[in-house]
Amino acid sequence: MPALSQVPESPPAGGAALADVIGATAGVGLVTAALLALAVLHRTGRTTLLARLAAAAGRHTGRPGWVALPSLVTSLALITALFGMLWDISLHIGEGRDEGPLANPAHYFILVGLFMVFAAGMLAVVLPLGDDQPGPASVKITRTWRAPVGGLLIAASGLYALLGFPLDDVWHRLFGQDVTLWGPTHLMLITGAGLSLVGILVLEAEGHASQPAGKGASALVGRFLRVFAFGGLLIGLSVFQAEFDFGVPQFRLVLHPMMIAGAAAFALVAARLMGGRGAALGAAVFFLVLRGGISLLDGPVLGEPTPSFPLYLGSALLVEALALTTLARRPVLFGAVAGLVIGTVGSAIEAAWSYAVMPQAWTPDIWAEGLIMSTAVAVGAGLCGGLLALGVQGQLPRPVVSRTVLVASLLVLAAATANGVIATVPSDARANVALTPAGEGFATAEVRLDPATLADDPAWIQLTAWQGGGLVVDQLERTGPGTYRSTKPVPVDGSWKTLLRLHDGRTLTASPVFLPADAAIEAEEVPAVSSTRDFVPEIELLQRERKLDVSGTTWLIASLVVLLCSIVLVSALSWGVGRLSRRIASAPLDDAPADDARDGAAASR
Amino acid sequence: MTAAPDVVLAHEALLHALPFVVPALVVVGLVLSIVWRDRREERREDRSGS
Repeated sequence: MPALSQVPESPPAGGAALADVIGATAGVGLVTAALLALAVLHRTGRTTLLARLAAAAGRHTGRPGWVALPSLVTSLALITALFGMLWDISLHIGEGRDEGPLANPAHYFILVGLFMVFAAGMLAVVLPLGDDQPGPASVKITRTWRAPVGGLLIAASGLYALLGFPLDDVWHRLFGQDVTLWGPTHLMLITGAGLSLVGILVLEAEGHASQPAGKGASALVGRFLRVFAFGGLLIGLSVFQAEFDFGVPQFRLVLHPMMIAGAAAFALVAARLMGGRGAALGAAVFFLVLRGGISLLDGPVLGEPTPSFPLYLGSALLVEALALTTLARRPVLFGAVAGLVIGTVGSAIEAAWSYAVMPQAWTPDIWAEGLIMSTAVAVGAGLCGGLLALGVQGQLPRPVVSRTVLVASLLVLAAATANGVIATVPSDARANVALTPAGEGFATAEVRLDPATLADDPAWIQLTAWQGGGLVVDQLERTGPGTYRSTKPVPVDGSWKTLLRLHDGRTLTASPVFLPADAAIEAEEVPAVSSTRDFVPEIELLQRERKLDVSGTTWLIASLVVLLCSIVLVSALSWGVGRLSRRIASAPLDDAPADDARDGAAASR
Repeated sequence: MTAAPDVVLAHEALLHALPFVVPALVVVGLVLSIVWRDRREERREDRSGS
């Protein structure tokens, strides 16, 4: 493969401008060298700059400096990466593929944010010095240097996420650009960022365990910090839903309620068990404020498609109400019951919210299957949320119990996800689309399905136009058996890609209305004329850049590499929480509320 | 119409990894090397002590 090549005449479908690579390499290289020099000077006692910064952060939060400063940096890093990720998704939806991994301004926010997550973890590793030693769960680096396990977990999460970038590039070369959030390497970026919050919680618990009794954060500050951390966890787990938030999901709609219920059960259960009364509600409010702010920035300010977001308030209230019962004294059982309630009642509340604000309302087509998947996943997630809360407080059940619950929950999640991604394409179906011009470059449409019985109660039947400088989604209006019409004009020229999308049960398919010629991927134009065209797999139209002729074995091997990285990260996080739980005393946190579930934790173990 | 200027593209995956991933891997390697050297030193001291 040549190291360098000339850009083709049409927009390239891969590669990065060499100048971008050199500039970014030089910039980050300098920053890394400066940070390394600072770390060496700090550990050899030749500067007190880091110690003074950490002490200042510690004074304001009541935590040791090696907890406070890295937590602050990680929080800023995650907000930076989150903004970058949502901006990146909206750019892809509105403008299409990148010309390369560094050709999109949003990628810099993601890269800088993820690098900062890694740097924050390493900061926690190098900071403890002299009398200010990390707690009993710390890991020996040298005979005179111990690192908090939370710092190592944050750094590992950041590194895992960063590895997603070069792997993403390799992936694009093997399989073409996958313009979907759910590409395996894209998931690495999101998962690494989201799960770094577990590292922060572990670090925070280590900080508490290392302080003498009675010394530490004031009750209010401590509770706020924990609520913000769980709000952040909720945000991180919600990024997986982004395609649904924007209105261009490439997977079946049943996955949406499942992801919302799972994220809510895991984060809100752990928040309530660790943060006490009001913590689950506080985490949901924090989520709404931050995600709402970024949505405003993304849409009205930057002029890109605006993402919606889940409500979570209903689930948070349910968790708070449930915690008023004696169930809260048995955290694992509490997690399971809370998951059950979130998967059922919480999902019903989110369904109503979907009709109010989401681009794809949860129609009756998905109710039964969505309910089963949501409930199963939420029960597992609630159990894991309970385990996390116990683990961070040094009260993890016996390893055989913890591991069984964790593995069983992951298997349920994997099974539900596998069920969700299985979709079918009708073998002999087509759509007759009659277009009527409606202004320059726009048209309205009359649609006739063949066979007419193709959709009886669709989750969606819509015209979607994207990547032409915005996003237009028009849910079609039924006019008779198998016939529909548009409710507004949709763009059908320029670089817009316009298609008729149909999702009913397991059927997930699309028929092209207008696709521009694209020399970079040797694709011909599909003209915007009234015609009858076959329904085909959506991926052929939504991801034109994908190479669909790559062997299944190559795809399997590449997926297994990504899976291996993910298993290593989950194992590392589990090991860290387990190590913390075994080594810290199980005395209650001095800033925890009196009704905390730890009072009866022993009963659950 | 003026032709767009040529842009040189980097086509090696390793080049794309350079800016952010390699520095992180260098840091990890550095810490691991410190751990390895300290363990080796510790074993040597233990042997000479016994």
